[in-house]
Amino acid sequence: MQQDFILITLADDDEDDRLFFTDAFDELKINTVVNTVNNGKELLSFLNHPETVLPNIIFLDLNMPILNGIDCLKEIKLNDKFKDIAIAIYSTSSSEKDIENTFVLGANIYIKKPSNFNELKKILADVVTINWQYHTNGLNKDNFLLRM
Amino acid sequence: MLNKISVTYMKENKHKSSVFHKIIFTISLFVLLFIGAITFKHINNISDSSKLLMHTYEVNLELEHLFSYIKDSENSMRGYLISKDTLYLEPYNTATKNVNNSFLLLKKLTADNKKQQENLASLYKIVNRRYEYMSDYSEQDLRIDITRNRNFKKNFKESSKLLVDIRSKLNEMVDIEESYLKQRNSKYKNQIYLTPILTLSILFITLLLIIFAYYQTTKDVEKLQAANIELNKSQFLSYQAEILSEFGTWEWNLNSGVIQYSDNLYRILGVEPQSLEAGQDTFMKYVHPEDIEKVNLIFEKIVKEENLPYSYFRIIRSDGEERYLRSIGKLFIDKLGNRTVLGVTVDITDEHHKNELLISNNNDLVKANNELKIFDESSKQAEILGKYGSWILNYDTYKFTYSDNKFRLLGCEPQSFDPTIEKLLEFVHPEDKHIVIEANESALTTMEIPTMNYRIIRTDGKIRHFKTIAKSFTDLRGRKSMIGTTQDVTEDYNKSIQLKQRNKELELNIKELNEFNHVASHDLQEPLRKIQTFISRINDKEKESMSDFGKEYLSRIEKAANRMRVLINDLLQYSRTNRSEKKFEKVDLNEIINNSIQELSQNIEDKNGVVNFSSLPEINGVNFQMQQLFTNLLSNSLKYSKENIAPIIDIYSEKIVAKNESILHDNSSKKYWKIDFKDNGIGFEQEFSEKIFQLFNRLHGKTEYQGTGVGLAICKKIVENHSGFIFAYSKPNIGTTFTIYLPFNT
Repeated sequence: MQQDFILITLADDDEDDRLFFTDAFDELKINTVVNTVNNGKELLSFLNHPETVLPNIIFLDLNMPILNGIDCLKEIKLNDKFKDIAIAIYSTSSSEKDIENTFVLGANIYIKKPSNFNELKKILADVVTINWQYHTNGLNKDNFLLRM
Repeated sequence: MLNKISVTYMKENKHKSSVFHKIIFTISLFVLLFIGAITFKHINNISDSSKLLMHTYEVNLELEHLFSYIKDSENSMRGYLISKDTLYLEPYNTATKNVNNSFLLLKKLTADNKKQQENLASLYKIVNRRYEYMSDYSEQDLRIDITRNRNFKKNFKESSKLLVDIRSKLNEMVDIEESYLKQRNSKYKNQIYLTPILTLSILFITLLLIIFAYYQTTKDVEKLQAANIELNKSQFLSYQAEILSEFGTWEWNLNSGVIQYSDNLYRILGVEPQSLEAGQDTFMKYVHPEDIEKVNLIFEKIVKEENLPYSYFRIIRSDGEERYLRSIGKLFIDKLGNRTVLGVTVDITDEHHKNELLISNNNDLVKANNELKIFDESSKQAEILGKYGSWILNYDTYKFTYSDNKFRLLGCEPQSFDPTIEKLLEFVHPEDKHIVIEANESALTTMEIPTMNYRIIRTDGKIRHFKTIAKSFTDLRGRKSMIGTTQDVTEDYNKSIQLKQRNKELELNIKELNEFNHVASHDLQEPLRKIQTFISRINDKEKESMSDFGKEYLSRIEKAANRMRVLINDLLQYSRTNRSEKKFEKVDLNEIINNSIQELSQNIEDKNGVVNFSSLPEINGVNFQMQQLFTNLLSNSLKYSKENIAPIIDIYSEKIVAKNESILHDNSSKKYWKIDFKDNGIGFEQEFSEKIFQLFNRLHGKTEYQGTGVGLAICKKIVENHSGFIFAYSKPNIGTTFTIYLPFNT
């Protein structure tokens, strides 16, 4: 990473979740730049915008209007420009189906939204500080879902 | 048969010809008698005539004799008178005697003739007078010359005249005789002439008759010969038949008591033909000792009733072999009035043995038949109960046979019509006719038909759904047929339609439930998660500045939110138990229990719990569900453990058979694994043993024991998913035992 801060993008249609997300990073003492978009479509247009500096990690909610997380993930992975960006699935659901699907489609980690702010902070800190190189190499279905 | 006909034909012929012969014979007899009578009469007549002729000649002769005697006596007298020699008196006396004799003879001869008698009488008078003269001289003195006596002269003259009278009288008599003779001669001639003509003509007629009779006889003889040949042939045939069919014939003449055997009857007895004298005693020698009485009765019967119905007895042949015989006899009366019982005796030993075999076979058949009848009856009942009918298509005749119930299914009386494909098509629903026609073609060409479903319109107008299956079948005699079963599946069809509809509804319900699950998992979880997150935010940031009242309420909000989370999670888990894919695989329960202990290790440690288990089986199941089952049960036991008493959980398993476990209400020999989870927890009243498995059912207050009342419901669900059973046995303050039965699969 050439920058001294980590670029993070969150795609989530829920305003509260976006608030928790940004609050959490605000409270974390990590050098991050967080920007948020409301849905998959906005995410893709953001990524495709010529002036955009591509993020290091994308947090992708699955349940979104217009373009949902799964379809968005597919689009990203099809694009050579974006396919190397680490994708963290960030969802309320922890259904086997969703976990399986996103894993197969090439997501890097699966985070279930916690119901405690402190837990949230901890998870986000963990995810951001993961050595992605190692994580991706040893990635399997068992460690795909981030357990607390 | 042929013989019989020819015999009756012959009989008729014989009868006819014999009548004919009799007529000819009678006619001939009459003709001959007639000829005889006529001839006799004619010969009589002829002999009469010749007698009469002879008589006439005799009379004439005697008259001549008489005259010559008279002359002789005259001559002698004259000689005496002349010579006076008495020597002449001798011939005179002889002649006189002869005259008398002659007269007597003539009198006899002409006794039947009055006229001649009269003539004879007058002649006698004349002769007498003449002799009176002559006798006068004979007694005269010879010395007197009477010639000189005038009287003598006159007398002499007179006597000469008398002699002439005699002569004329004699002539007259001869004439009369001659006229008789003539008359008789002509009559005689007449008869001599007629007799041969009559005789010849009658003879000729007789000859004709005899020729005709001969012709007829020859013809009859030819016929008889032909009949005889036929008879010979049939005799020969019957002789052969006797040998071939092992029967012999016998004749018992009841009039004479003579018994005759045919050659083959001797052979049946095992002796050379005609080598023994046939008879009752001879026969008895061969009769089986046990049957002697029987045969004696048979003999008595023949004599008494002149008849012998079918009789059976055994003999011991000369070679010692025991044979079975059958006899029958009938009275035959021939034209001569002979009463003969004609009989046939057959050696039925082979037949007898065959019969015995047949009887035993027959018994088997009767038994089999009986069983078949029972089977048939039960299948008839089954047809009625099961609403099906059976039918057979015979490939030799292309004819159908329907069972009674097949007719009933069509709404008809059993066997009320001749089943054909055309007739069946009359019942088939117009829209489904093609199915039946195609099936029929396939049945005729490939001898196979697919299972077919079609509708028919019953005679009462109701539409019924039929299902037919059929298979071709070759019976023991190699005849091919197709045997089919047709079932009225209307109710099933209706039910299946209902079922389909229900299924649709159910699918819809499941879809709704899934949607609900979705809502529960996402849309309900999401606000809850946010509420909880907000609570944690407030707890972190604002708790310090809150009043005690606020803190207390915030804490209660937090608890309620937490409980809601637990509820939603459990509910999701429960619904997932229902929905999740059931991938059955070998599951080692030892591994499962170890995982569960691992999972609950913190909990166990906290309570100082002990889990004991002996070797558990490997079963066929869904791995994660089994895991959940064991974890839930263990955690349940840990949760409801007694305060201050370390929980001890014993798990053990055994193999059982369903019928030995009364609680399963199953009398089959199905095998199960029985797994017990026994704890020493707080227990409960046995009456709640079923209630505890109901969803959201709790026996205890939320504050005493945390829980949603879903855990055991999930357990029950899982066990049921595995075709098993779960029961709970409990006593308050002693403990609870959960018993699981899981199907034993090898």
